Amino acid sequence: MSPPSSRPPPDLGAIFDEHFDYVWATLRRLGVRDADREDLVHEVFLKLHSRISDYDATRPLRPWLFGFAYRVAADHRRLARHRVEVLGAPDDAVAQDTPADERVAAREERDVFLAALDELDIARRALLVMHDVDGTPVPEIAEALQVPVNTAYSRLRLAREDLAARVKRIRNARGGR
Amino acid sequence: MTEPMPPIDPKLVELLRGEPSAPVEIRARVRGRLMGAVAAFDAREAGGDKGASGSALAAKKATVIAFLLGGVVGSVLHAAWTKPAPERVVYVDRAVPVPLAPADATVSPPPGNPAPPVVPAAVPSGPSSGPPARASQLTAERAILDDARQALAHGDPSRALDRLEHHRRSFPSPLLAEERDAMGVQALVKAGRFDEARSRGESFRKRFPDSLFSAAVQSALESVP
Repeated sequence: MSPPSSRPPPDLGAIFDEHFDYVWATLRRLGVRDADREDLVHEVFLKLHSRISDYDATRPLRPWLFGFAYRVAADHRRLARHRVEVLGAPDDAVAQDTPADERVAAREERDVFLAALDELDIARRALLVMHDVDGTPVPEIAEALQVPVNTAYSRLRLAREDLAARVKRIRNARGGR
Repeated sequence: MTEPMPPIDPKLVELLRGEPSAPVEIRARVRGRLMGAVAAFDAREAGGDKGASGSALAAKKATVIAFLLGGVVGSVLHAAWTKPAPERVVYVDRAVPVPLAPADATVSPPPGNPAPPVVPAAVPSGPSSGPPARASQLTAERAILDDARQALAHGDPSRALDRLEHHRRSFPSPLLAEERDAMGVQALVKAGRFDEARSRGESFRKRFPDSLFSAAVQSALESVP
């Protein structure tokens, strides 16, 4: 539990307006389906509201916010009826002005990567998203996820290894290059 | 501490970073739900001063409301996902009891490691993917209503009423009229203007018979001595 801050708690509306898109995108990166995201983003901010007095304004907000998003996504994923969804529509991430063969290759590469990411345990996926996508320093990740710093480094290494192994396996299974 | 494995291929990382923003309608809807839930929670908290029996009654009421709202939320969300978003912003208040439950995320910041605060102190300026004019109006309306809400939270109903009146004059076709009018009733009650509060509450019920702010309005009126 963080020590009480001498500053007044931040305004929920301001946090929502500033960080809604971040939470929205983070839930997707953690594998939450489009159909579930609206409910879950609401839940993230509600949970944040219930703990807003704990926030220390001298610390970056996003890692703290990520912690809420991660736990909400993880709880959601534990329910058997909820399934994660592979990110992205078939053509939405490959530039249309590139040659056709390059587009096909890029799309295949992307599909393999997303399939591998989707197989990852959500805790490992969260580390990759937080560090490699959001650029959050590992010590801040450790704070947000409430684990020792060394553990966070170790888990990040394992997550990368795990992802690389899965990419390789899926590529081989598809007869890849 | 070293990181023996290299990061993910930057091209692939861009896939994850390229997530589009939420549609402005969804953003507004979630915000309305959130603020409605917070308002209901605050109203219950205020009602809690009446005593333990009042708290127990409020808890029972909240349970019933949450049960009923669950069905409403399902209908509203189904409608939102299966047809174009309507012009009128719909507020959903399903999570009335949720703020009472403790969240499980917290941070224990280490001492002597300060970082600049990142929470904006003033008017928000979040990006939006929706039509600029509509998004801009929403942002402007939110700013005024947030101001009013903060004034209310800090025990200054006069300022809250002033901001709400400013909103009414500024937006002849408001997107957040329901939220404004609900807050107006709460502010009038806190200002001790009980007759006006009852009158406005009645108007609110007629104008928004199915409003999910109704619980907050009703709770405020019930606190009138």
